[in-house]
Amino acid sequence: MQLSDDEIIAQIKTGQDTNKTFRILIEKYQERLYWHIRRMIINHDDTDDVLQNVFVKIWKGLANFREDSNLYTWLYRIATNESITFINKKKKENNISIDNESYHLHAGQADYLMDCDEIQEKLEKALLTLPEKQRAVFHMKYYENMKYTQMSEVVGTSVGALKASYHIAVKKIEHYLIEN
Amino acid sequence: MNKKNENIENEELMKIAPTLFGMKKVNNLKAPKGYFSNLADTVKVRIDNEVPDGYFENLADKVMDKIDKEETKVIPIQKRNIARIVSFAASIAGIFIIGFLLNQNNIVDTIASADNYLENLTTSELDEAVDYNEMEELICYVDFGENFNEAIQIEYSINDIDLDFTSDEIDEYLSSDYYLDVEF
Repeated sequence: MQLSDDEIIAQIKTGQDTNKTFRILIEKYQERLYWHIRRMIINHDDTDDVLQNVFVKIWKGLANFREDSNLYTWLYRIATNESITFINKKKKENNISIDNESYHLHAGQADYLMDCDEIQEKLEKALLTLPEKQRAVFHMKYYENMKYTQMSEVVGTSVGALKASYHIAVKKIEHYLIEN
Repeated sequence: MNKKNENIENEELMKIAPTLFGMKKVNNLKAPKGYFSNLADTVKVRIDNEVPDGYFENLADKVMDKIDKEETKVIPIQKRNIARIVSFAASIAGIFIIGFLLNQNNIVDTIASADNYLENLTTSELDEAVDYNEMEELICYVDFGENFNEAIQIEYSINDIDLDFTSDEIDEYLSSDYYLDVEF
């Protein structure tokens, strides 16, 4: 059963069949949010943990959700904030960068990539050279074709700053692909 | 995003990153098989096990309230032991009292039926039924009621009896029909 964002919100506000409606919301957004988080965190187990936390936060916050906001960007904002909080916490605990490949090997995620050709593998490695927030910006623009205005709501940065961030990310990746 | 904006962005991408622009947009990361089909259930379990909001804010007050209530009910261990012993002794005593009362009822019933039996006996029947050697003792226990005068006469007759028996006379008496069991 598919519902629009407005229908989901309206249904939850009535307080009837809340669990059922929330399940619809999860099933609608689980993959998009998963990949959004996964692009920042890379490790599946950590992504799974963060994603579950995100849905718990969404569940708790739904009652106070303001209808003038966009459900879609609100969900992404929670996912982005949770991911960044997780990454910062992990960095403090382990005193290592989550960006380098040793982290993924350390976390037993050496096989985190699909069987892909050499150039795709290079792209994935290039993405790991980007800071998490910039990687999130690149993911939202390059893979999800999100509008800058929506991205601005998600990450709480101006459209201009986001355009600049994306531009820099693209140039870094291009440089990595050519040099390696 | 409208088509015009998309074209502009693609043109920009082609200019600044031709290698990236020429690549297919595919997701090279993988998620475990079946992960998304179970996620909603996993999240539901997580939500059900979440500590409710504000739980810890009120926890200290709730615990203190409970402690206060418990303290009013508390009986010191020593007192509790005494209470146990007393209640045990009371139950044992209860058993004895009930047993005694039941037994008393039987005795009362027995005396009543004996009383009734004796009241209906004629003097001659009494003469035959009663073991005269035990008569004095029996009179102490049995209320003869209306047959009191008869009982007095029996008492007198007992006093008139010559109690000097020889051994042979006693043996003869015991083997005779005079010796009857009186049931009470």
